[in-house]
Amino acid sequence: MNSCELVRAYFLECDWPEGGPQRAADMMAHLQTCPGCAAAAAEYSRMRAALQNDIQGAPSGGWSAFEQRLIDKTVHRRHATHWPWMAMAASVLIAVSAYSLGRWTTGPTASTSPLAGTQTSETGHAMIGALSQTDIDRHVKAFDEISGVFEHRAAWLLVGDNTSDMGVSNRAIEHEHQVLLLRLTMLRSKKLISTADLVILPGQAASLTVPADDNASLRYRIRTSDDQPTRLMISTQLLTPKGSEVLGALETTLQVEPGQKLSAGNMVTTAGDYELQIAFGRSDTEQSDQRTNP
Amino acid sequence: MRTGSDWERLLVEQIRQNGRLFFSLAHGLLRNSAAAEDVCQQAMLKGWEHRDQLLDAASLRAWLCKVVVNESLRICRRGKLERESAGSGELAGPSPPQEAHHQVDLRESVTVALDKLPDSLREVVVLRLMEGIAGAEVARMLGITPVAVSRQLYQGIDRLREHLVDWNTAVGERI
Repeated sequence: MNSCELVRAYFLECDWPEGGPQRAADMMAHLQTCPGCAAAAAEYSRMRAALQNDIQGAPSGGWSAFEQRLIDKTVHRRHATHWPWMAMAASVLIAVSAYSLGRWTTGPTASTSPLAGTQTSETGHAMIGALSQTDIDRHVKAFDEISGVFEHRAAWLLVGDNTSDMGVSNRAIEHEHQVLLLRLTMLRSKKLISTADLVILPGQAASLTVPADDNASLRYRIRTSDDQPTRLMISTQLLTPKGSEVLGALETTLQVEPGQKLSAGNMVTTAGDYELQIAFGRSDTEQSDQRTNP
Repeated sequence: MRTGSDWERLLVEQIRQNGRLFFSLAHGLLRNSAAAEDVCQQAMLKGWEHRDQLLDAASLRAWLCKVVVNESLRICRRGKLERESAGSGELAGPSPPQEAHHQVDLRESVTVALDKLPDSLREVVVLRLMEGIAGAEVARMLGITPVAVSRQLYQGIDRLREHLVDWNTAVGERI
């Protein structure tokens, strides 16, 4: 290799700090007298600047929590596939709990559907309904029962019109008798297409898929903080009927107070304009238990 | 031959030792923490699925790096994410200044060009340029010689230049 090739290779291979002061001085001298190498070095530096990972992102909850989540969701998650009975039992339990508790606490004419909390305005614009105390107590009761069955490993519970789901940790979750409640409502062109209620422990994350009434589905990834006021990080994807394509995506971080209803953002897609609305509640499981079991 | 529990231990070890690297690689391309974490999860699950093809911890780490980078680029390519903020990527905030916009545009162009590189060149370019990992360490990670790292980096940059036809003009105007 001639000196130019050597300098360029060295520049790329070792970079200056690794070569020691003498090598750096030699390179500097060469670059000052060789426009070709100087241009190549400048280009390398510019490209590096453009690519350099200058924004050091950190995972939610810190590195240890991130590593633990990775282990739980990859290494430990595969164990769950060995227990299909548990998933089946969970589905049945969720359905039964949500249904029976709804009838029991709100009377035979009340709907167990989260849609009961959603109204339509005179203009036909669906408006998100607040979570009533009855909704909250009913969901908290269902969550508590399911959590008991799963030895306090339940992290979240989803109850929707046509779906129910839950997340189970690989070990018991300690919490201070507080649960968060979210009503997730999706509108398309101001018409309601999907709604679901999520009960989740503070500090936990949920990954869930909810059907929408136009055969599409919505995939939510929701992280919650364990402090107050609660912060929610919500990632939403609108999927095609077979779930193979993403039609739209929305990422938002919200700081919310109990009783609050708000818009979490919009997605403008070729299929229409979508808006995600959130109603938020927080409940003490012990107090809720006293209300439902006076 | 490794058993299932051996592989579980190996994966846990990888997460503990290299979780930050995997996250950082994905975040560098996606600028979004939630998406970066998802990519890391997918890489780990793929690692398990392909365990028969991976011989040891060193080759597993190199392989996982490759999966993380390729999966991140796939997400970029398909435009699945709204990488709307050049800042933390997490919190909606004020618009970044114009200079930051330029840097974001520039990075987008380089990301698209990176996607067109062959795997072997892309890995070296990403690890060396994006993560700033020393050549000798990259060589160790990928199980190749330092000379090969140097050669692939040189070739990678050459190929990037080919894909960035207006690179010099763009960079000249913006920096």
